[in-house]
Amino acid sequence: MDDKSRNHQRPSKRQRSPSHESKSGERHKLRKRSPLKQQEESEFSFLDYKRNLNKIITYSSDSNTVVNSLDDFWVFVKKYEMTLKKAGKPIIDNECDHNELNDIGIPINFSKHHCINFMSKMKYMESVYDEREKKKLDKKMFDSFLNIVSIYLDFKNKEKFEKLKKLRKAQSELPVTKYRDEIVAAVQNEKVVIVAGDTGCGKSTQVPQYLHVAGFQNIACTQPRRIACVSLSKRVAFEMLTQFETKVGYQIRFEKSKTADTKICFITEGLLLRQMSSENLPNYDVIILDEIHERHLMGDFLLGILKCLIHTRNDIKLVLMSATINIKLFEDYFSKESAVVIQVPGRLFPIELRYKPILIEDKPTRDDRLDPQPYVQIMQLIDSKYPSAERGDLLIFMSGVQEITTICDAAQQYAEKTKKWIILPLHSGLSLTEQDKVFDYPPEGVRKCIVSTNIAETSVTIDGIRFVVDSGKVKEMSYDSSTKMQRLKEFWISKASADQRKGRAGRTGPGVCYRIYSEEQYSDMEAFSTPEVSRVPLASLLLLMSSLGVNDVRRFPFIDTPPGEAIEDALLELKQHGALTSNEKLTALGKALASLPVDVSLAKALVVAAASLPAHKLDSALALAAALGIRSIYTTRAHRDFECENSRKPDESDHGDPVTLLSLYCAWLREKSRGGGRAWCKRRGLEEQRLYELTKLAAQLNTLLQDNNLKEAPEPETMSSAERALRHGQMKQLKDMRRQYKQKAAEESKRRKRLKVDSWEIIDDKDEDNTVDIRDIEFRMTNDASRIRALINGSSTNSGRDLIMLKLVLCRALYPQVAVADEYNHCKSVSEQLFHTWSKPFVFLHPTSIFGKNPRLLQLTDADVQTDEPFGYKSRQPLSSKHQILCYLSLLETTKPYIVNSMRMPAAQTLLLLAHSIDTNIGFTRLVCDSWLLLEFPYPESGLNLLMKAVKLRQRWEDLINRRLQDANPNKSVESELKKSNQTKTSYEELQYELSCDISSYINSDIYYTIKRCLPGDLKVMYVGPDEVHPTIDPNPFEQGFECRPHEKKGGVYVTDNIVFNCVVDTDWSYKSYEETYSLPWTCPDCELSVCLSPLERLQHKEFTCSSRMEKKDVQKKPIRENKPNTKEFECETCKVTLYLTPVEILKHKKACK
Amino acid sequence: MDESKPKDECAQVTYNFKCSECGMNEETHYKGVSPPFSRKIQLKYPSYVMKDPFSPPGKGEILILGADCAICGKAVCISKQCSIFYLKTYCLKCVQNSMDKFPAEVTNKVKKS
Repeated sequence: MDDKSRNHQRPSKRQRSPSHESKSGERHKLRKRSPLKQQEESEFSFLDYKRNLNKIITYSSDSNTVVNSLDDFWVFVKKYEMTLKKAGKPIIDNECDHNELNDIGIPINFSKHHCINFMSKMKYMESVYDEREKKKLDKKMFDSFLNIVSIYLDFKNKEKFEKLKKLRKAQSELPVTKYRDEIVAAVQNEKVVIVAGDTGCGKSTQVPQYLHVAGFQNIACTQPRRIACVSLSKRVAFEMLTQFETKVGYQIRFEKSKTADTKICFITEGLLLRQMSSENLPNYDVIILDEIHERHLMGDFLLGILKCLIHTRNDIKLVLMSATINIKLFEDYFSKESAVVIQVPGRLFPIELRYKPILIEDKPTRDDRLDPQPYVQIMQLIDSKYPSAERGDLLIFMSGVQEITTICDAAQQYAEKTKKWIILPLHSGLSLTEQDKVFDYPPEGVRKCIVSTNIAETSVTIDGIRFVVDSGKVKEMSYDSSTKMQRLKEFWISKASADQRKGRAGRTGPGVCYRIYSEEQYSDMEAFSTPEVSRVPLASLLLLMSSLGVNDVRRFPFIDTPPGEAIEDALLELKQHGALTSNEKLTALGKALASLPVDVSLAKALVVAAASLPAHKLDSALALAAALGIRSIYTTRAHRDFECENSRKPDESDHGDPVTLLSLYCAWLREKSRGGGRAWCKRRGLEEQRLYELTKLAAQLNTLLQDNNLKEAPEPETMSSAERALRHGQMKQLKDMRRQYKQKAAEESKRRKRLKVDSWEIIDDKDEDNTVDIRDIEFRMTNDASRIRALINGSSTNSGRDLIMLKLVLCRALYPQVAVADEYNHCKSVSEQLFHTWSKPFVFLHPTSIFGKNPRLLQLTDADVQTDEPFGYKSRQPLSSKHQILCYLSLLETTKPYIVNSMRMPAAQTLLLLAHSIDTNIGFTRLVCDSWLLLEFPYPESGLNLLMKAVKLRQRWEDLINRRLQDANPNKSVESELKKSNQTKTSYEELQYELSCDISSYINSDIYYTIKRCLPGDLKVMYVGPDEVHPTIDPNPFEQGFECRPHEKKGGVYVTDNIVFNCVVDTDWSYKSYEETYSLPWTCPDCELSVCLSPLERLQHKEFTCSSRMEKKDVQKKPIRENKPNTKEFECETCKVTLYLTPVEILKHKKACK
Repeated sequence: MDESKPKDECAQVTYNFKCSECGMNEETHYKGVSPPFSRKIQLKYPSYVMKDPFSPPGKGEILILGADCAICGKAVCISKQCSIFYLKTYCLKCVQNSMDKFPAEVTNKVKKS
C-alpha cells in the first residue's frame, strides 16, 4: 500500500510535471524582487522548500490527507502564506509555549494553534543540502511547517464534515422523512405496505435505508429500468457512507455488484422474476417493488406472484411504492392482505396551467402534418415574458422521434436567430452520451429546450425545468394477438400522464405548463394509461408463468386481466411451438424455452440449434438469436445516410436481414481483433453499444444452454506459457485502463459540463475517438484474441450447408411466421411490393430491410419460369422450381403494416418440412399447406418424392431434438438406465452431419411447381369432406405404426400427425394425371419389378416389399469425422477416398498414402 | 498488508456518536487521540473518528465528527454552532457558562454567533 502511494508521488517530487514547472516559474518572479542571500523573514516562503518538504512528506511512509492531495496542499500553503503576509504576521511564528493553565485547564495565553485538534507526527529529517537552492530547512522551520500541516488537516476535516452535514440536512428535508417511523412500524407489523408519493419525495432512496436501519438484513428493491438500479444503488451507498463497500449493490441483466455482504440490492423486475423461478430464491426479508404505477408487464406479473407468495412465506414483507396515481387500484388488489397505505405528499411548487389548443383556422394547411409554429410561439412568449436572467429550462413532450425532429428543426432556426436557446432532443434511440447532454448546464442567459418523448415523463428526471409544453400525444405499441402484429400508433395521453407531464415544471421552483390542447380535450382523456399487459405479446410471460408452476394461467390474479383472446392466442402459439401439451402442461421443450431470456421463438431457435448444429457451429445460432433479441443495432442515421448504406454493402447478405446482422457482427468481431471498432461502427451507422450487448447476451445464452444440459461445456482451452504470459500482461494493462477510466468518470460526474450554444449540430469526432471506451476495455477483458477468433469461426457461415441449416433452424423456430408474395408483385414498384401472411394479408416489406431495398431478389426471372408445361396442365401461376417465401421475425404497423427482419427460403421445401398440416389429393400432385397455400406439382411423382423426403427428414429431425431434450432431463428410472446401457447410440455429431447433408440436398432439390394462396372461397371447394370414407392405409409408408384415422372435416385420413391423405379434391388435370400414372406400368428403380401401381402403392412397395430394401441398410459406413472446427472435405488423389481432416491431418495423410 | 487486520477489528467495534446539540447521529470507528487507520495523525483531545466515507479505503483519510465536552462530558460535534475547540472540545453551553475562563479571542467568536 505505502510503497504504491510513494511510487505514485515520485514524479511530482522530481518536479517534471508541467504544473510544477509553472509554479516554479512564479517562484522565480518572487525571488527576483529580493536579494537571494538575504533571507528576510517577510520574504520567507515554504514554497521555496517544497522539494525538501515533499521528500519528508512522502518518506513519512504513511498515506494521509496531505500525501493524497499534495498539489492541493501546496495551493493551500500558498494561500495561507499570502493571508499571513497581508495581515503582516510572520510565516514562522515565534510563539513560545508557556502553557500556563487556569483552574479548568484552559491555557491563559491565546494561541491560534490551540484551536486545532490535529497534530502531524511527521518526523524532521536532517535534509541533504539542496544544491540548487542553497537553502537549508532547519528544525524550527519544520515545526512551523507542521503547524501549517495541522491547519490544513483541520481545514480539510471541516470541508468533509460540512459535506456530511449537508447530506444529512438534504435527507432530513425530504418529504418522506416525516413518515419514517410510520413506514418502519407498518412494515414491521403488516404484510403489505403501500407507500405512495410523487417523484422527489425521496421514497426510492430512503425507504430501503430506513428498513435496513430498522434491522432488515436482505432487502430487494426492484426497478423497471436497469439504469435506475445502478444509479440508485450508487446514491444509497453514498448516503449510507458505504460507497466503497458492497453493503448496497445492484443486479441487472449482464452485471451485478452484489456480494455476500450486500444488505440492500437494487434489481430489475425481470431478474427478480427469474429468481422466483429458480429453486433458490435469495433469502429476502423485504421485497420492495418500486414504480409499480408504471404498470410494466413484469411489474404487474411480479405483483401477482408476490401476492401469492406472501401467503406461503410469512418471513417476507412486501412494500409497494408508487406515484400517487391510482392508489385505489393497488389498495383494492391487496385488500385481502389488508395492505396499509401511507401517502407521502410530493414536493411540488405551484404550477401555472395554460391551455393553448391549436384552432382549426390557425392551421396553415389542412393535412395532418405537424405544425411546429405553436411550439416556437411559446418559446417567443417565454423570451418576451420572462427576463433571461431568470433561469429555467423548457421541456416539450412530443409523441415520437419524427415529431421531435420536426420541432427541433423549427426551434433550432429560432434559436439561431435569438442565440438564447440550446435545443436538445431526447429519446431512447439516442446514444447514451447524446442523452446525457440534457443534464449539462447552458451558459448564462441561455435556456435549454429539451424536446422529448414520454421518456422524460417518469424515467428521466431533469432538474431546472420551469416550462413544460405538452402536445398531449404519445406513441404507443399495441399488439394484435390474432395476427401477431405490433402496432405503433399515436394516441391521446391519459389524464394521469398529462398531470405527470405538468408536474415536471414544478420540481425546482414555481413553473408554467402549456397544453397544446383544450380543456375539453383534457376532460375527455382516459383517467389512466393502458397497462402494458394489455398491449404486448403474452407468450413469453405465460410460458414463464407456467414454468413458475402457475397451473391455470387464465385464473392467475392479474391486477388487470389481459383480454381473453390474447391469452388464448398466446397459449395456442405456445402449443404450436411444442412448449405446452394440448392440455396445457409444460413440456421438456417448454421448460428449456422458459429458461432462456429471449422471445419464445428465438429461444426455440436456440434449442433447435443445440440439437441440430455441431458444437462449434452453435455460436452462429447464439449470435443470431442474440442479434434478433436485442434492440436494433442500426442508428437513426444508418438508413438515411448514403455513406453508411454504402459502407455496409459488402457485409449485406441477400439471404435476408438476420443473415446480414450475423455477417455484420462477424465483420465487427474481425475489426475488433484488429483493435478497432468505434470508427468502423460509426462509418456504417451502427451502435457499437448494441454489439457489445449482443456479445454479452450470446455469452449468457451460451451459459444457460450449458446449465440446461443442452450443450456440452467446452474443454478448457490450452494456452502455451508464452500466450498465457502475453494474456496476463494484456489483462494487467486493461485493468489499469479500467481503473483510470473509473477514476476519471467519477471525477467527471461531479461536475456537469457546460453546453455550448452551437453544440447541437457539431459532433466533435476527434474528441470522441481519443477518450477511453470502457466497454471496449471490458470487451477485451472477457474476450481474448483466441476467443474472438473462435467467435468469428463459429458465427460465420461460409459453407452453403451451414447457412442452409442455420436458416432452417431459425425458420423452424419462427414458423408459421412466413409470408408469400402477391402474384402481381412483378408489375409493381419497389415500395408497393405486397405480401400475405397466414393471419394477415396485405403487408409490405419494411423499407430498411434487405428485400425492401431490393425486392427483385424475391421474384422469379424469366429464366426461372418453365414455359414448357406438361401436357394437359394449365395454370395462371408460373411453374418454376425457384419459388420463394419469406420467413419473418415480426409484423409491425406504423404508417403501413410491415414485415420486419425477414429471410428468404425456397417455398415448397420449407413448407413441406415445417407446415403444421399438409393436405394432399390421391396422386400427391396437389398439396395444401396449413389450409393456406396450394402447391401443384404437375410432373408425376415429383410431389410425392418431395413430400416423402420431407416426411422422413421431419421425423429424423424431430427425433434428434427429442433425444437432445431427453438427454438434458434424464429420467432416472431403472428401465431407462438399462436401455441406455443396452443400445449404443450413434453420436450426435454423426446424426447432425448426416441430417445436414440430407437436408441441404433436399432444400436444393430441383422440382417444378406452382404456388397459390387459397382464399376462403377456394377453401370451400378444396376438400372432399367427411362423406366419402377412405379405407385406412396399411402398411403406412409415411410413419410405420401410425394408426390412420379419418379427418372429421376435410375427409381423407391422417397418415402422420401432419399429413392428411386424399382429402384434396382433384381438378381435371390432376385426375387425368392420376389415371395415367395408374394405367402405365411402373418399374421400381431399385428392383426390377414392373406393375401398374397407384402412387401410394408405389410408396408401399418401396418401403415394405421391394427386394433391394435389405441391401440398402448395408450401405458402407462413412468414415467417422472428428468435428474439429477447421476440418475440410478432402479427397485424396492416391487412394480416392473422401475424408474429413484438418489441414495438418491432410498433410499427414498425404505422406502416409505415398 | 498488515494494515488489514486492525481495520477489520475496527469495523466490528463501532462507537455511536450523537451530538447533544444538533442531534447529528453517526456510527464512528474510533474514539481517542491516535486513530489506528491514520498513523501519522495525532489528536490533541480524544475525539470520535470515522474512516473518511468520501475517499477510497486504505488511504488513511479520516473524518473527526466531534468529542465529549471537557466540562459536561456530553458528546458534541465540531460544528461551530455546537462546540469550540481550544486544546479540548467544549460544548457551547459550557462555554457560555464560563465565558471568563476562556481567552477573548475564543469567546468573541461565540458571542458573534
